[in-house]
Amino acid sequence: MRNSLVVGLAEVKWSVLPEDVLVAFSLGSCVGVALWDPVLKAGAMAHVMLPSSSRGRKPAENGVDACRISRFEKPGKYADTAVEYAVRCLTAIGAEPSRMVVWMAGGAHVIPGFTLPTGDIGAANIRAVSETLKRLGLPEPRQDVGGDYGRTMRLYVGEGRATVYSVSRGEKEI
Amino acid sequence: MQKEALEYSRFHELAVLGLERARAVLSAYTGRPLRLAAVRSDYVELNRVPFLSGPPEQVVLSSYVTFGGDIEGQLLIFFRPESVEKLASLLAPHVFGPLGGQRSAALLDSLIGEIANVVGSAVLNEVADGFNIKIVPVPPVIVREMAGAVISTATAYAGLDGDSAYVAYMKATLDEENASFEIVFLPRMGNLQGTSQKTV
Repeated sequence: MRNSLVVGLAEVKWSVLPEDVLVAFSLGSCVGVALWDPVLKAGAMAHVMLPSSSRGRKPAENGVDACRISRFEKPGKYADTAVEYAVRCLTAIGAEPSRMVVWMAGGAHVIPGFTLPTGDIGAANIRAVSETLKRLGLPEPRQDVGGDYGRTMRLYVGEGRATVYSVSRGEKEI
Repeated sequence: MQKEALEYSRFHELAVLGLERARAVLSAYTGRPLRLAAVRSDYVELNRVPFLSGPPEQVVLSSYVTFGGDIEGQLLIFFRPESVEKLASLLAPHVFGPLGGQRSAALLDSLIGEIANVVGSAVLNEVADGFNIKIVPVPPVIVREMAGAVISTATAYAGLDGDSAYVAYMKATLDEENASFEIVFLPRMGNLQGTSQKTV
């Protein structure tokens, strides 16, 4: 019996239960990042909205920029903090970044003409996730990114496989 | 805090007034009574936003409008596939009715775009007039995609402002026909606070 755990916008979730399926529904410009440790059979997923936490960084009250993001903001919102947080969730239970399997999906341009002041948000999210994965020494991700269509990403925790569903292309393993 | 709350409630009232105007126009067009089935507005956690308009994976025809001027924001209107056909057959029976001729997706998109224009302009005009501000919309785009993908992309704008978004949600329905459409209004929060100062 499978158990779906919905990873909502700006959230990071992880699991070690083999029946769990982590799901990021309807990724548009957002990017879903999934990590899986084959030894522990543990997985994590982040639903990234924006590329960089520097946008949300606010100085602490003592004047020291101690936190990467405001204490009011979720780490899953930004590519850099989301991937770091997901890795931390898994390493805290003994996972090794170098042996993790990584998947990435989304980053599409679903609304013609839609941009943020910083430019094409989907492309920026893909770039930022890729750079963070590299910086943290994680393996190259298997990916299904870009284009102009929405995707739903699933990570089957017990099996260590990820799928992407889109309306026009159906479901496929990546 | 009180001033901000009042201002948001005024925004809500104006948006509903605008939809009332659109409702009257569309009722006249279709010859059927159009009813407001749901009206609410609130701060919504970002992770909840994609679920506001039903199952996020369901494909919808949506009209997407951004606006600038004295406030910035976005207006999305979602039409479920079954409602699109029914609305189209009422608005253009000679094309989409039972005895209709050649149908095309482009024609359907255009018709839905017209409904969205009526609704969008009524709502935005009412808000602009009520606050005595300028709102400049860009022409709408029609997108056929998963509802959640469209709304979560639009929500990226709100993500720049915080972990929640101010959302006005409205649903209009033609009860007799079991057809409806939904409106998601996402003004940028910082701008609306600016509006508050303007109208005092």
